[in-house]
Amino acid sequence: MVETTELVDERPLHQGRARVRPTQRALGPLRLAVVLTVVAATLIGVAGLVDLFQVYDTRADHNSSLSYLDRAYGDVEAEGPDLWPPRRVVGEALATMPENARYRILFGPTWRSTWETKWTDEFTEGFLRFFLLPRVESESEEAPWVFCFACDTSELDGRLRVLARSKDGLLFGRVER
Amino acid sequence: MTVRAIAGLVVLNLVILGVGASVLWGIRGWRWWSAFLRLAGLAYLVGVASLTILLTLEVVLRIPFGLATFLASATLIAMGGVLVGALRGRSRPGLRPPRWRLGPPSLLTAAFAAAIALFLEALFRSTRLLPLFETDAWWVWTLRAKTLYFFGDLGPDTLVRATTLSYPPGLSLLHAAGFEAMGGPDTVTLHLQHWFFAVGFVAALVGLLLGRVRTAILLPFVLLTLVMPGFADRVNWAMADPLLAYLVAIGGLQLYLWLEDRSRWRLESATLLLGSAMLIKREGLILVLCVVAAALVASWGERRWAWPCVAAASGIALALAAPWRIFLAATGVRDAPTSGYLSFLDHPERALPSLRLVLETLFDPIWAGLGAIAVIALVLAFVAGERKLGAFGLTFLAASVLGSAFVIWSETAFEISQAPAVNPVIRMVLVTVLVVAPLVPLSLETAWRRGSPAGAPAVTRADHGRSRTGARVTLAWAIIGASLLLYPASMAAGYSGLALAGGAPRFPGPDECVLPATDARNVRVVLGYRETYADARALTARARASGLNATGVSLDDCGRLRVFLDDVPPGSAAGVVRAARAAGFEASLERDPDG
Repeated sequence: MVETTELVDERPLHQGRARVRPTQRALGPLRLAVVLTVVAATLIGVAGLVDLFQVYDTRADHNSSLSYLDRAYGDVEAEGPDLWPPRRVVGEALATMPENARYRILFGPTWRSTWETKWTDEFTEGFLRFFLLPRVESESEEAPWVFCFACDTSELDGRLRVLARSKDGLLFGRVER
Repeated sequence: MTVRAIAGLVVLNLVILGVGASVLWGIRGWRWWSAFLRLAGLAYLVGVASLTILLTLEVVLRIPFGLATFLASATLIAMGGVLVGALRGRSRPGLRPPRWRLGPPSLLTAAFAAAIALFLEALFRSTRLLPLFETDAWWVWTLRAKTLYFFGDLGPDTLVRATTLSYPPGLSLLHAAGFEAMGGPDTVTLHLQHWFFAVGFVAALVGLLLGRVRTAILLPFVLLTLVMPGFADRVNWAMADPLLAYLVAIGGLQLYLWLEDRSRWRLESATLLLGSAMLIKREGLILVLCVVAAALVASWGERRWAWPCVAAASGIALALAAPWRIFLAATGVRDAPTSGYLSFLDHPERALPSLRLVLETLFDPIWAGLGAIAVIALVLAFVAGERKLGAFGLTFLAASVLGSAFVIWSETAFEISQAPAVNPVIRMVLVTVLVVAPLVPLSLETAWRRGSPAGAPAVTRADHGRSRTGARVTLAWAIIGASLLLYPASMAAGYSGLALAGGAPRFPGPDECVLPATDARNVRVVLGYRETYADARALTARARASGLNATGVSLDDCGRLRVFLDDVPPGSAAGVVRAARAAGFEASLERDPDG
């Protein structure tokens, strides 16, 4: 294998421009195709850049207009509010659970069924799991904290002490032992 | 969201650049720092690749992740690069060659350089305060980055679910390093890390092609690549696809250039880049196989010497990614489509619709025509007699299209649709388009050179900047300078026309929820803010013990717990504040919008 460490750096860039014959400057079909392709790329690129300035400016203004909490939770407008659990309840949970807490997430069949329920539940659960770290989600019934999304609370056998609730049926609480 | 967080990311990326520079000096070396400037983008991506590989190995070996581990890893790689350089007899570089000067840019070059700089500035501005709305980041990338940050590993067993564990940890490790550098899990400023990745990619692309492709051909395609709506929309998302594309694109380009000039360092850097790509996303394996297939086809005429080298490089790249695969196997995690590897055999009816979907997406307007232009350019290169380049690009394109179609065919959970919620085809094709993008200007340069019967000279210094003097040179530099100063100047002047910033940047924090009590009729006396009820309860108890019996707690709009005295008559509020301060509280008066 050839070691050509400085090949590019040392390549003579100038190779006798003065000796280029006039015929070489003529546009053959290949060169014409290259010119047309480059011109097309330039036009599309410049037009795209002009559009992008507007798009990026609008996004920057939108991001800047969000409140601190909007930004910390993620942008509801970007994905649709169905995916986000009620913020107030999550805020209460965040302030209540210690950082080493384990919690369960339970969904009932009627939780926000406006969109495809499976996806809504998965996204919502995914958001909580991510957002509440270092508090850790657990599937164990031993987990002392519970988010109940319109779930059947009878399985908690009356032991759930509700600490926060939303109008649309989310309960957050602690399971008494 | 703070200056501290941004500064932390700047330092992190300088460290990554330093690591990559050390590796590149070891495998390539350079005589002059002026030469390094051109390769800085490549060095950065090599740094990303090297760190990804080593940090992943450490996760597999259960070495706890943290700032100390990251810095030790960076130091280890940098020392390895220096050691290789010493063994290979690399010399210390000088500043610049004798009589070297920065060639004056043409007006065209200046205009495109300015356009690219403006794009990156606008992207930075729209990225800085971008909230983390990407659902895949919640599920995988940033979830695991936060887990690494808090726990030092991939977390308690209950957190690590099979569906997410099978994703390689590369991006999450880089995100976690970002959290360490920022001083906390700032998932908003984290998006800027993806801005740095993009800058590294642009710099690598330009740096590698600058000596081979005239700027009049190169820069329009760099700009076109950046402004593709399908890319520009996603470039700053906290997702793995763009980074995967950068690594495969530059790795593939290096592999092709190695076929051309047989420089060993190109093959070595390609090995690192392609090996790390497999640790960024599962699709990395398919894409690397596509690149390898392209290299094998392109080097058919020289297979006696080329194929063993390609096979060795591929083997090493696979070996670099192997520990993660072994780790998955050892933990019993399935790394297959949810319906199984052979499920496609049960659904033959999905084959053609999958292929059609990928092809339709490749030629979709969201790529600003680059899919079609790439095919034209590669065919032109082929027609011009540059069979190797044409074969490389067209083989990769075909293999990548078939690979993407196969993934969609196999995964029955994917609907045959471009809708991002039900099919990742746009993100898959994004990688394909970004990988062929560098080959387009290279192909057109070849076609241009061979487009004359007598053949034309290779790229000359005259093509980059003929002997320009006087007003045109001044104007060219002025254009570049203006592009760099436009955003800062608009902020200083408060001018927001032409999609400019129009004001000083905001660095929002929880303090923005505090409402000053100026002339307010309804006020409250706030004794302090706390993060947890435990702390808030302690403060409340202390206040009540001091005689402030009406002290209460409520959650404010910034997620903090406000410990306060409500419904304080405006006339006595100042006296209550004085009394509270005398009792040792940091009391303040705030407007109470609730009345």
